[in-house]
Amino acid sequence: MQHFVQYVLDGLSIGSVYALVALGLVVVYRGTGHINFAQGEMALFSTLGAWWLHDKGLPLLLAIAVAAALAFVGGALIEVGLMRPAEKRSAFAPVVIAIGLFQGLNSLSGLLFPKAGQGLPFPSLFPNKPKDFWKQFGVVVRIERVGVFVVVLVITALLFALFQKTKIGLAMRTVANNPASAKLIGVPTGKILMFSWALAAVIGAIGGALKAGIDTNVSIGSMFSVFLLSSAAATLGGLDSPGGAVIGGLSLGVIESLVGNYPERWPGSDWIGIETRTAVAFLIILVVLLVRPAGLFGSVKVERV
Amino acid sequence: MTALLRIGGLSAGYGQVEVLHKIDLDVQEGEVAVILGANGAGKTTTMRAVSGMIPRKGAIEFNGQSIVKSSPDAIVRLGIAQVPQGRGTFTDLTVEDNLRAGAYVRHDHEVNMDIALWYETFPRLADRRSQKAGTLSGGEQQMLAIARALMSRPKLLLCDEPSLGLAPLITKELFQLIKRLNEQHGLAVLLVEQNANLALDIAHHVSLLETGTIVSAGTAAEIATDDAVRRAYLGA
Repeated sequence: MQHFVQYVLDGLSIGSVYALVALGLVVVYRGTGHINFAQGEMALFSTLGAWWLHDKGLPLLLAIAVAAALAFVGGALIEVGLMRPAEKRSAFAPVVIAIGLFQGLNSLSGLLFPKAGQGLPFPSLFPNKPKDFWKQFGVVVRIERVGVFVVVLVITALLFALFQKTKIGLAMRTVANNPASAKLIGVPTGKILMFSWALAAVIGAIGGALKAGIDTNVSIGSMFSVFLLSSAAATLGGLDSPGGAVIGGLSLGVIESLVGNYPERWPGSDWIGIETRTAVAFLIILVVLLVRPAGLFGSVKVERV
Repeated sequence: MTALLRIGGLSAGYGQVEVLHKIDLDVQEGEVAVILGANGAGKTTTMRAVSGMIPRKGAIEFNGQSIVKSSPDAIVRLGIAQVPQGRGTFTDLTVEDNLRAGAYVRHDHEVNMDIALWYETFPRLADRRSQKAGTLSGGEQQMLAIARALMSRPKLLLCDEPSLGLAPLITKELFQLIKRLNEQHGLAVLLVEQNANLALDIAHHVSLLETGTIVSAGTAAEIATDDAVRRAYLGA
């Protein structure tokens, strides 16, 4: 039992990163109906920016905040400069542009930060020395993991408040539900999409910084697997559901952790382990989607005529 | 009376296909103007052209100001609200959020007051305020679409075939409501319909639209007695 609780807690912290990046995907998906394939690399680029600012002497928290602010501007520019012109040409073009952006940002990261190929040391925002833990009923609770989890809960709560309690949030929901009608009630849909991309970029930047903190380094390839698992998490939760993204991300982290740690305790299951945990996680998602194609919390269209 | 909306030589369409060919049409302040036309005549295209949803050429003036180059949100801000064909409610949002969203262009503090006002006019919506709009019946959704449009406090309401897909009794109720809005609130209405009987009942002025051209126009009484119209639209 102690082990079980331990593995769940471990899973919640990496799951928090998946949840954040998945939230970024959901914010863009609700506005555009597309998965932003560049979400992971946008986060990587911001995290490298935060590393550079920190390396130049800015305190870590400030460096991450400045990088996130720049990500906000960058996200808006990507929407206006790349996605919007592409959208006008064909419905599929934005997907291709996003894949190109993924590749471009990855290469640009390598060009600007040649040493990031092997990984650059990235400190954690939270105490993460071997002694920084609480022990309670035999379960080791690492302070850093709690910190990451709390950050995700706070961001989720803020997003929820934004969507449900503010005018811009209401406008974002109208654009997600029916863009033509949103225009007809006077919502400037272009500005809303721009804001959605900017917001997604900020969420990604925070996710990237947390991931780098957990790994204590940031490398060129580090966000790719995060993107894969986050898109799986978003699909699991329901691509248009922010709450679903968080629950999907956390579940995926926990599943990975349990599958990766448990095999020696399950007779006959030694074929699963660290190497296959991701495959097992995807298998579970596949089964869920077979039963609920819109994801756990995705909206199934109910419409009376 | 002065023209609230003045359309002159308006052409519009989709991509390379021109649907409307230089139509002229006025809507006077405080009147109900109706465009009658069959399927494919260009009724919805006219609506979308006025709302700025599609590329258009020619002149559209609202309150003396040209809006032919304005964006949809700027046009709503000036005081034109459209109830689109097929209602266009936000199906995933609650009834109340639909109404609140309708007030998006407003910056005053009387939004809640207006919501209460329209709940009084549409008690069925009040009963279902926290239900998702997608769960309402067709008639209720049409009511919601109209109430949502009114939330922007428009001077001109565009209604695109409100009778479509509704039972005859509900349609009748709906047209009475539009008439009431016009009489009690002085709201100008531009309505497109295929259902000539109902539309002629509440119209002050009627234009006949056929394959993108206005072929006849006049007061409701004139149009109702026109032989060609009677044959084509009134089944007489």
